Amino acid sequence: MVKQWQAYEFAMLVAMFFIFFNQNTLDYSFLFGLVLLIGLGIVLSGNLKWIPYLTFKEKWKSLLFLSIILLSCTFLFVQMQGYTDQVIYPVNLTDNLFLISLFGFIFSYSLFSFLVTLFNLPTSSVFEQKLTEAISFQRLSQSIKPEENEEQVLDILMDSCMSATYSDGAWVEMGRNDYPDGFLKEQFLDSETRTEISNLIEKSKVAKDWISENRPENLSPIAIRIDHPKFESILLVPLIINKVPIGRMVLCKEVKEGFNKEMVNIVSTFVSQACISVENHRLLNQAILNERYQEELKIAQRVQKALLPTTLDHNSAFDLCAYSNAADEVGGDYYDTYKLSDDRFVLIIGDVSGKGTSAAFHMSQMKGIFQSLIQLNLSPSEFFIKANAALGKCLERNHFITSSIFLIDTSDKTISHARAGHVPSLYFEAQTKKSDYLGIDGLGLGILRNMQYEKHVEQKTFTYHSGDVLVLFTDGIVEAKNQKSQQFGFERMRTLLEVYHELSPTEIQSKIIDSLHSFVGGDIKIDDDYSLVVAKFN
Amino acid sequence: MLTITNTNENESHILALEGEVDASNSVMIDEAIQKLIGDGSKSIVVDGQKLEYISSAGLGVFMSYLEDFEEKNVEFKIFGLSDGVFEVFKILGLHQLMNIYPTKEAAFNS
Repeated sequence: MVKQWQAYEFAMLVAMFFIFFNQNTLDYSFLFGLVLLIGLGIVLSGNLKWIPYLTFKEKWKSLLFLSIILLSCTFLFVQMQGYTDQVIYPVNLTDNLFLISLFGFIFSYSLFSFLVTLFNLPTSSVFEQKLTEAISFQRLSQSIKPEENEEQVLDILMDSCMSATYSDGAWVEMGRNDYPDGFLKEQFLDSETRTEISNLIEKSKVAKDWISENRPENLSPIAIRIDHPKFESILLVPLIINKVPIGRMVLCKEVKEGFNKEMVNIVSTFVSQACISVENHRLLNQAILNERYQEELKIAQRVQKALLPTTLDHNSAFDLCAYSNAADEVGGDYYDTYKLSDDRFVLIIGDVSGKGTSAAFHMSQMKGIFQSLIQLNLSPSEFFIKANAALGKCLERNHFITSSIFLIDTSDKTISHARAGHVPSLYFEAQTKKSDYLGIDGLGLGILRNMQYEKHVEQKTFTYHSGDVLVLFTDGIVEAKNQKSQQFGFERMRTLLEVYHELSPTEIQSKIIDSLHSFVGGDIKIDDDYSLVVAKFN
Repeated sequence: MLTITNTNENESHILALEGEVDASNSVMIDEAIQKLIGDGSKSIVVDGQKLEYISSAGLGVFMSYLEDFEEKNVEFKIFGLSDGVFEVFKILGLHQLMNIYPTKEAAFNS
């Protein structure tokens, strides 16, 4: 297009200087130039692509301006002709190639434009309609921002479809899965009319056939004739996301057969675009929630890693090793050691009820309480009594903590211990070559949140000998199930210790854990946190 | 999977538990007991004959109501626990705080 204009402008430029070659006589070169320029001018006049874009008002304005141009042009040319009849004139403008071509061009362009604009007047509404549809489509396809909601898209959808089909009434209803209280938006309809139409749809044979013949995800809009006093034709449009129908839109018109094929196509396009927007919005919200959850988990993991001891306190009289494995990325198991003096050490193991982030937080409370109270040189039962009082205030309503604590005195070779609801600890006696569970009573922490707790905890002391082994653990080990739903159990642990008591703590620990994993089976993940602390006396 | 059945017998409300109690369904027991207390029940008996397993979350629900039961003078009993499940209560020390009976007769006769 631009090249044609440039060619024409160049030709006109040449025509301006033609006067020097020609002296304005009507010879062949003049005629040739004239034909060329007029021809180019007509070609340019035919290219009137700008006219459809004008709105109805603008077209009327153009018609006015073009008429003025045509009239003035004609008038000027006639005047010019008139001058040539006069006797004295310095230059005969009518013989000027440039001017004649210019007149010709202006006249032909204005005339063509005028006629085309005139005949395009009735179709301007169609063009505007198409433009509106394209804009609606664009609005529907814009992604919904996270703060906005689906309702706005459904609103736009209903409006666009109504205007595209010239409907007299419409409503959108969504399924109860996503909107437990129901969702309904109606336009130009009252609920009575809507219910009447709904009932007529249900009874309609066409609708029933349509539902039964197609799988839900293949349903496309269908035009139905109904016997309603006001509305004679309706378009039933299912809203489908990911092959699942989530709702429907019903467009109503007062005339019969009001929905032609083109309208149905436009509506289908709008609906699929709206459904895509809604789906994207839902997926985005889901992704945001997931990310938030992952972040929380990461924080809890970091907290937990910081709580378990990196070094275990002990002296040359005994060796110690510990292992903890958390289910669910964050665990509620706790173990710790504390050196009271060169020959007095404390071992503690604990299990917070539950899993996940709240268990990890309770675990950190437990650690704080242990690290503070233990400095007071309390006996095991006194420790639990005070710990119970402290935890009673920290723990959430349904939560409790089980724990076992051991005070090892290597100077007189004694162990004092207490058990607060925790799984009983295993002890191997080198003298009898037998292992057994330490029997001692004690209520879990946080269950009795008053002074009554004192009566429910006891303490025992015994002497240890060289070769003895103490194993502390949490219930995740004994309760681990295999495919047949059998538990690992206390007996297996007990016999393992009897068999492997000669090994070092780390080796005993590995044996127990290997046995646990082979019992459960390679593929099954153990569902609970489990921890193991092994102490062997030299 | 957990099913709770609620029946009345001799002025006591019996909650029969069937299946496993874990963190995901322990709230069902919480709601059931909450409702009974709200309705003014003075005697709640838990039938654990078909209870296969109870996790710390489930135990937590029971223990959280102990104080309420004492304050509101509600009689609370459990019967019919299998050996394994009873062991869990015993390790935790709850057998000293709650009235646990081997059979239904023993529970109602005390």
